[in-house]
Amino acid sequence: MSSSVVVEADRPQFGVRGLSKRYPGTRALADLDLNLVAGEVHGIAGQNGAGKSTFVRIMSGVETPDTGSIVIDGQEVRFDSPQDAQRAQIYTVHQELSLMAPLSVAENIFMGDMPLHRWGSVDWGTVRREATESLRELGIDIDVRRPVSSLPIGHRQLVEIAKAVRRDARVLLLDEPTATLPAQEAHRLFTLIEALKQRGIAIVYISHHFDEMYQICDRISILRDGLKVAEYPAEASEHNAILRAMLGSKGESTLRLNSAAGVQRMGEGPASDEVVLSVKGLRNEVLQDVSLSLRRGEVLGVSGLLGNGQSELSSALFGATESQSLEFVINGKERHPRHPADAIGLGVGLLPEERKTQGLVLPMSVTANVTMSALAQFTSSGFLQRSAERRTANDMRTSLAIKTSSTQQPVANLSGGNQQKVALAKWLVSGVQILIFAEPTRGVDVGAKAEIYGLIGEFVRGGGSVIVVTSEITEALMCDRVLVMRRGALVGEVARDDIDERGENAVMEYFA
Amino acid sequence: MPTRITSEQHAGDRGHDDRNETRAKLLRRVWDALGTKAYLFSVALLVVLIGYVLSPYFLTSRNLVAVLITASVVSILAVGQFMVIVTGGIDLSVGSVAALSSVVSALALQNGMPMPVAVLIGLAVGGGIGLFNGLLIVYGGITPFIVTLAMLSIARGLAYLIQTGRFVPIDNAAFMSVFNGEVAGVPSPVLIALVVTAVAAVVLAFMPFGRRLYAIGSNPEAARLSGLPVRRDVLRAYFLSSTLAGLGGMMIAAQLTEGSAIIGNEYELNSIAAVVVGGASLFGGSGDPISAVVGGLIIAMILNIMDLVGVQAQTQLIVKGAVIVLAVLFTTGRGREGVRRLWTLVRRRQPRSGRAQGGDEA
Repeated sequence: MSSSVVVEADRPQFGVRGLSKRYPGTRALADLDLNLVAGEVHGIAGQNGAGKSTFVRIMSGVETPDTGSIVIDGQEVRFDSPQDAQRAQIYTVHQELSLMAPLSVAENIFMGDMPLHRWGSVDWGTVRREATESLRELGIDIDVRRPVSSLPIGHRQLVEIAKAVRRDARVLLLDEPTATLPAQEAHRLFTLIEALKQRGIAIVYISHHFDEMYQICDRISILRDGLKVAEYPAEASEHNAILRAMLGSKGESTLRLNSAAGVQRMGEGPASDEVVLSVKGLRNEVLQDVSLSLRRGEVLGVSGLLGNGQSELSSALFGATESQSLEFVINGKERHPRHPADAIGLGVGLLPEERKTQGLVLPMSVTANVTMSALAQFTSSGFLQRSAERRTANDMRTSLAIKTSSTQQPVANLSGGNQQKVALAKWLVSGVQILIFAEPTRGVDVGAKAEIYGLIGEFVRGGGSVIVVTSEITEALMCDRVLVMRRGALVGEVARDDIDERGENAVMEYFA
Repeated sequence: MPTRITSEQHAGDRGHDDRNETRAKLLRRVWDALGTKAYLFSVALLVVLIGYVLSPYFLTSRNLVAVLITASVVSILAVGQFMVIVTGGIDLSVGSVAALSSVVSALALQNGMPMPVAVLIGLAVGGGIGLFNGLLIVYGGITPFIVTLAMLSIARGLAYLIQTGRFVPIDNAAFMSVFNGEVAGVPSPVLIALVVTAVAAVVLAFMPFGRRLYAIGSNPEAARLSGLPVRRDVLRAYFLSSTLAGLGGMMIAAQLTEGSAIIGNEYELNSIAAVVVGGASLFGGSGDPISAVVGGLIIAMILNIMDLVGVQAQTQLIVKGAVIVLAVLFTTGRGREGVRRLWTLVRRRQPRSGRAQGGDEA
């Protein structure tokens, strides 16, 4: 094109054009366009499954797109391996760092291209000098002879960035860099990012934390369901628009529709004032002094943007991770559950976020999964009553409408929504009265979502109580009361009246 | 894509193929329903046939009984080993535990203790070591491989230490008749192995403990979050494995009429081989005790056939190793898939150049 010469100066140097990627059954990315400008930080935000990690995998050469391309200096390129991406000077700092922990900082920085003496032995003098030098240029002062394993996580990240910079990275992708960083280390990272901008590196910054993004990003692209739905300048004044774009207006409109009709709440409010679960001062590495109480028949929502401690709260309440508390009362008994069996004994069940790896034993049958937490019920004089098990499993299959050709099928063969129902059936059979649902409809199709909400409603009408931990705002709005978490602490409590009056704004004002 | 020449060749007998296809489909369905056991039993049958063809002595009752007696101790160890492997663990100490238990029970008898007491002591030695292994694994957080590897060394060292001479002779008639006698014409080692296998099979298939072991081996985190007593059950598995090793040790002692620190050498490896030939995954969650015992029998029969034919011991070792690899290749899905892939590769012959071109077009 002839016009390209004219606009050369402000033309973005890097970017992706029409990037698409499908996995069996899901659209991970659809026709993504993104412009990266040298010396700018481009933030990417989106819920889980929005396509962020697919984007990172494609940019770092781990996966190849179905269609579309990566553009560098106006040229379309294609990466078939991570080496290709690095050859194109695109580097990615993954959440799980790719450093070799037992080796020294210097060795890691020079990994793969050690300067050698004439006879093939490593020129350690040069390695140390240049490693120290490249770290110092970035304002980092650490002994390069130390093994990486001895460094705190924040320093390791800096080493990885230094490694990329020493190799003349032109594009640097940071995938949730602050997810595991303490606050002061995050601050140091931001300073470093400023320095990298000065060097003319184009940075992609992926995060769930908007306050950070407004601080260091120039622009923010929002992904939802594999689509780029919006791009905004990274300014706090745009916060509401950005949140709305990320959480989806589709859900919002159905919500308004439903709440006008008086439905689309999972439960009908607490059946009584009786408190079935109450905890005060719950804390561990992530949780900051969390206190909450759950009433009989209540559907209590716990929301917040991803990574703010919601999932830690659900496992702590279930005794699955260690925590301390000042007071912990379940069903009238004062006792802090120390492990899951303990919690189950007290009448609490958890449907974990990672259904496939935590909630179910995939290779085992529907029946075996359904009866797993209540084996004693199905044991008579030491033997499992298989026919009773099968009967219960079949009852559950009917009442929860679990779609499977047989209850003898391995759970692995079921769809996400049906797997979730099996996980629920397990707790119904075990007879617990308090259920914690962590992201109950993640990876579940729309039809099954409604069914699961219906089943939660049924459970509370039958005298149960529920905590729904969710990062989807529409789901939170369907609860009787919503607690909002930020950085491990409860920052807001929204009553039902408030939700009815102000909709999602009532909850969202507490989001970071 | 197949080349033109081969597709023309196929076109010739296409009508034939269609009819055969439905029959093949039915056969495959029956095969799949039987699962890995079908493979296992056909392999066992094949080995019997080969033995029959190669040696007139193989199918004599005297020879078969001898094979069963030889296999009985490894079978018992394999049952215990299976209970550990199904949880995703491994027990390398069983051979040494068998040796220690043989020495301890022989010493007990030598010191005039009644037979039942000596047997109980032998079992208790095994059980105690199993508990120790289990505690280190569950609460010490050390991997099973390391813990039981250390115990392999420790238990054998202990056996040498407490046996003062070269071995401890046994002349207790009751002990002999229990572990090396006959009941209604059936050698008691075979009977004991049968009972142990049957009980284990029932426990694993029909009792909550068995169900939990499979769940723990398939997904320990999901098992924990379902409230299963994961630690206690893993501890029990190691306890049982070691106790059965103690039992096996006393059976060898009765056969040799002595307790000795050198017995049971490599039995840990033989029991693991039996379990994997029986189709269990070393990652846990699959297999069953009967298959493990059949796996052990297959190995024992192959070794016996080679003995009868006069294959040297050195060669036998190589064949044994090859059998383990082949059996596992066939009993696991991946192996079958690999064989299938290999087969299509052989049939296509020149897939390389064709695929490279296709890639360029895309």
